Amino acid sequence: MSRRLRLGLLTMFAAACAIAFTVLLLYTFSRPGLRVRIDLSSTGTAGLSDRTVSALNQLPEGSRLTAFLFPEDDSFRWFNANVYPQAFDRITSLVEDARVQSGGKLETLVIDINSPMVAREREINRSQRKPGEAIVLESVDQRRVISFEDLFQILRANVNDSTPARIQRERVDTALGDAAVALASGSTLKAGIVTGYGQASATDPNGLLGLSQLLVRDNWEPIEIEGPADAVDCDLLIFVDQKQPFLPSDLKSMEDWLAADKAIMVALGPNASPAAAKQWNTLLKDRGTGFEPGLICEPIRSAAGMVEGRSDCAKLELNAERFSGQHPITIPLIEDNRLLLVIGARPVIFQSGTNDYTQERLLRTDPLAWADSQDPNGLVFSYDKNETRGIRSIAVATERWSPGKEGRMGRIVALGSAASLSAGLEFNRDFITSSLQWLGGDDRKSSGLIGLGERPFQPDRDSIARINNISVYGIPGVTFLIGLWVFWRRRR
Amino acid sequence: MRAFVALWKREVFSMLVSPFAFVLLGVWFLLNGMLFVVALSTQQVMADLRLLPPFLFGSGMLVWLLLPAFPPLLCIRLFAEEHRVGTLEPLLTAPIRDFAVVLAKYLAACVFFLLFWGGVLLLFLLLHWHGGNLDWARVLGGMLGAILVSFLFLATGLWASSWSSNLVLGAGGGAALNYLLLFVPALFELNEGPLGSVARSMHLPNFLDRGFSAGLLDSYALVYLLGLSALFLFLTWMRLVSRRWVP
Repeated sequence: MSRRLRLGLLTMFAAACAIAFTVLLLYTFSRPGLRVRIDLSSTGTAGLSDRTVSALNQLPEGSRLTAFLFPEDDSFRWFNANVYPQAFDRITSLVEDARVQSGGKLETLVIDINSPMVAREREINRSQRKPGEAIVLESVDQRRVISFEDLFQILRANVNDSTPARIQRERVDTALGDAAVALASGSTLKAGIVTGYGQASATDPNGLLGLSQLLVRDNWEPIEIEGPADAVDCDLLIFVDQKQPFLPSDLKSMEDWLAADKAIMVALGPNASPAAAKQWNTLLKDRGTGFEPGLICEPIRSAAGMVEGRSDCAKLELNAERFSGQHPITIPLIEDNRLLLVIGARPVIFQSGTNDYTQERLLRTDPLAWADSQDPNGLVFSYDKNETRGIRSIAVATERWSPGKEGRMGRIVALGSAASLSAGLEFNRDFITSSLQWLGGDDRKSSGLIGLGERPFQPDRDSIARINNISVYGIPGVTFLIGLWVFWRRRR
Repeated sequence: MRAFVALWKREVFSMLVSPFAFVLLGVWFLLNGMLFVVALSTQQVMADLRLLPPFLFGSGMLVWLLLPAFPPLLCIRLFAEEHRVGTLEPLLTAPIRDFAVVLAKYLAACVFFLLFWGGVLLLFLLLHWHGGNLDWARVLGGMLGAILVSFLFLATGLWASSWSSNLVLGAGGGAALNYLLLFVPALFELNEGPLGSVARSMHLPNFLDRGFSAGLLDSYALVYLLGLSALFLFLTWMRLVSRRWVP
């Protein structure tokens, strides 16, 4: 073998060794245990929280996270709104962080409108993704779906003054963490949605579908049942706007349910059957709460003073001052400075119950509110002498002072508005979420909403012109001049 | 060491007095300035300046079009031109190790390329001085990522430059290699199985878009960028060594 060939082979061998070493190095450092992500942001919210990372690390091997970044709601793009770019930027960076921090247990994929059509269709079919769903987290035999609306709290566009939609807050990290916890634990609580007494269906988009999806997001398994007698293995019963009183068999089941101190969420709006309301008052008497007839109205504060007599009087805007500062359901709402909009509510009252239970008023009106009675002339939405002004309760929570049979607390949330769980769910989502968490036994869990920290830039015309001129002409021009000077000096 | 420092200084100086380097720098600033102005004129960025770093350093044209092309252009004079004018042989026979030659030239190119990024940083400072409330963790993170990617592209450019005395081939080869590094992982990113996994772990814009310019430093991205740069430097050294018996 000639010396040249020998050296040539040696060089090629060394190059091959270097390539192999680099591949080995990269493989080693791509191992989850050796991978570190450092959050450079001052708030520490650029990446996933410790809770979410810990939940991701407990996922079963072979779990998969697919993010679908499709701008599906046109109203989020009206008037040059920035909702989707901001949201997708946040989701992609956290999905990547999830992949890195999951300890190799999570395979992630981001599908957007630029993804090849074949890959897009394949992933949509494989994950059975429906419109509006942004993240699908799957393990071998379970899946969790997180919708776009669950991730971002969005103020919708105002067509009247051409205000674009904007993201107020987001909870991508918390939602991912919740989904990962649910997947890792492999067990879910069951919520029975009773629909056999004139209630809307849990699959009807205009009915209780939104509530059903919210339950899924919060790790409940919603089950549509005809009546309490069917709620054999449920952990929670939900009643929304009951139109008829219970049949005797269901009434007996209901009494047994209450005697067993199981959880209930009951929402009776002004249109609920009076007979059903009366029945509930009897059922809940021991718990010290019940429902009163009427539609709660409040005067509207306007530039012209307090206005009454309009249907808007029945739309109750509740700020943090109207929430209980003592209860685990409402404390997170106060901390997050949330605003609720309750459309059409009847008063929830306190009854003289037994001493075994506590009662807490969760939401209340202002002192000028009254309950408009449904007289033969219909609702007038204005205060009259037969009505009394004063603070009304819109939601009340009760529970045992001390655990009862089988350690249950007998938690009940009585809500005077049925719309808050159907058409108006969007405006009360955090209250309902917080209530469901409490009913499910989580005494205190943050909603996880954080601000995106928007940084708008609104320079005047001169500033824009100056920035443009310096960027396009100034800096390159000076550089070319220096180059010319160098050229001239070298020629000399 | 003294010879290494002297060679490094010579290389930096020769770039600073090269009209071609300044033309390159001027074109870079011009194109970046235009991209910056275009980005800034979009409603999305105006509504939230946090989106500017990912736009510029992650998914924008700077990374996909400009960044792969400029480092090889800067590198052509490092070996290809030395080879063309016949100064490479004296350099390789001088009392300095071959690897020190490679390293000195590479570090000189890196230092000079920081000037390229200095101009981009100036654009952000300009925005800041005009009242722009920037998220500096994202800006500096994105810039660090982009600098590391450009250092990788300089290493590939240096390797391409070491192969021939033909300047077009040197620059074109380096740029082609850089575009391959960018586009090949992007093509296979959505594949299932090991191919997709490997492609995703090599996808440079994802490192920038979802990592650096989101304010997150990933140890793997750092190792990937520095490791590949070191590999190409080693291959350049191998190429120089092999010149002694493979012309």
